[in-house]
Amino acid sequence: MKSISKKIILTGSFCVGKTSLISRFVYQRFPFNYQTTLGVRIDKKLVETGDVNVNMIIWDIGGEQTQARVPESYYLGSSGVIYVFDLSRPSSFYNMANDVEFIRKKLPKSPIIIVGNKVDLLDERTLEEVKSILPIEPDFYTSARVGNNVEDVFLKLAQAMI
Amino acid sequence: MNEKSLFEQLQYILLEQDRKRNRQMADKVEDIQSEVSDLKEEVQEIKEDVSGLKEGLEDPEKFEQKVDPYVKNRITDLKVNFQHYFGHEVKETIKTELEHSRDDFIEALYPIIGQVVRRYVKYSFDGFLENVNHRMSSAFSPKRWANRVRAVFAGVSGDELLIQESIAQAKIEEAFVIHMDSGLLIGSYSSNNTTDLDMIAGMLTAIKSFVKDAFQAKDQGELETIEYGNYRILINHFHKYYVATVLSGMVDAKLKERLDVHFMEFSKKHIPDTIGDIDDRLFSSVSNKLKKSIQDFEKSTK
Ligand SMILES: Nc1nc2c(ncn2[C@@H]2O[C@H](COP(=O)(O)OP(=O)(O)OP(=O)(O)O)[C@@H](O)[C@H]2O)c(=O)[nH]1
Ligand SMILES: [Mg+2]
Repeated sequence: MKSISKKIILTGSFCVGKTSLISRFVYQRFPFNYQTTLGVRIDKKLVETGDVNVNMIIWDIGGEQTQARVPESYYLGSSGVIYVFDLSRPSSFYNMANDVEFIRKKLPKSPIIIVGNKVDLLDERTLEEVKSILPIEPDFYTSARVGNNVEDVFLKLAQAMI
Repeated sequence: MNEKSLFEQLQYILLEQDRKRNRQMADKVEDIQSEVSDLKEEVQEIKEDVSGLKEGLEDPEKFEQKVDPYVKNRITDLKVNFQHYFGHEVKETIKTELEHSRDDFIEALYPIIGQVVRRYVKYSFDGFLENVNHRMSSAFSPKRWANRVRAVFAGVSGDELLIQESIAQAKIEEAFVIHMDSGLLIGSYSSNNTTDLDMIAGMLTAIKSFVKDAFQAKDQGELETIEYGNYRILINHFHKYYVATVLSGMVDAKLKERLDVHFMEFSKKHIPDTIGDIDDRLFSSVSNKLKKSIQDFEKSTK
């Protein structure tokens, strides 16, 4: 089957679980101890979408409080974006509307998937409360720890890119 | 007494004056006449000269023959005494010119000098590094001692053997053709079946852009080499992609230059002008050509 290479980036504030989501997706592992990502880390995984295989080259970008602080070159040539925030930490999503707008301007042709992570930390009531104050409704609620929806995030992005 | 009438006397006196004048006049006329005849002769001579000159002017060859000796004389004189005649003026002119257009001069010379200096420093530095690397590795490696032993049998000095070996060792371990913006791999070659070439390509791209950002490369400079352990990565930039070559062993400036030329040719021949989707078809076609081209290169260096 035909396979096609695509660069994607995971971005968002620090400590929201970007590295953990990738680790879960690529290695089926969840690292408990937090090691902040310095600069950028690169992984890859082949995602089968049915018609085409997507050879995903995944750029895990060190978290920044605002996207404006992410080095310009990390966005370059990226065909897709996963924007991650932490459902249990409001400061990680307050600025989300601006961030997403910023990325859209940088990469007008690339799909952006918005992900609220660490859903396992919230009970149902709290989750409803958080949902009501979110500036943008995310595409997925995930848990890197438990594994909820993680595959789906990457699969949806793969489909959106081809 | 011969009495002359007063009238006569008076007339005489008067005539005496006239006669004198007449004589003077006659003399003068004579003078003038002789002068005129002299002038006539001169005019004749001048006429002849002029007609000679005219002839010379109408016939350049003759003119040259006539003028040449004078001109030659003058030129040799100028040659010998130029400094003396004009030295001061020339010096002053240059001085004021330089002072007035100092900025122009600097502007005109700066890029050239800058490049020359940069090149020079770069090459000297490379040479220095090579030297140091060589000394370090030979001073500390057990190989040096092994070489000493072998050298006794081979009849050459241990260091010589070491140098010969390290030159022979220069080898292309890996090569990548990498999309400039995305860092995606367009084609690759590996002499030891390294996996994760995709990720290496991405990392190289990230490092490259980090360096560019960090140093705010004003002069559009690009990262050209990365060194790690015993490896050296050479980077050749093209418009939409770059080629990174991982080499082991001693890489000298000459090899670098040859690789530059080699990849320039390779790029012209084998990489499409517009790169759309980077799919497995493009990847395997570029990779196959890359493999062949590197094998050819290695053969030609042996
Ligand atoms: N409970 C829970 N903890 C999580 C989840 N995902 C990540 N974490 C934890 O959150 C911390 C940060 O995770 P990382 O994946 O390193 O976060 P990051 O976004 O990569 O952080 P930076 O690299 O600093 O930007 C770690 O201690 C993880 O164990 C999750 O889904 N649930
Ligand atoms: Mg991280």
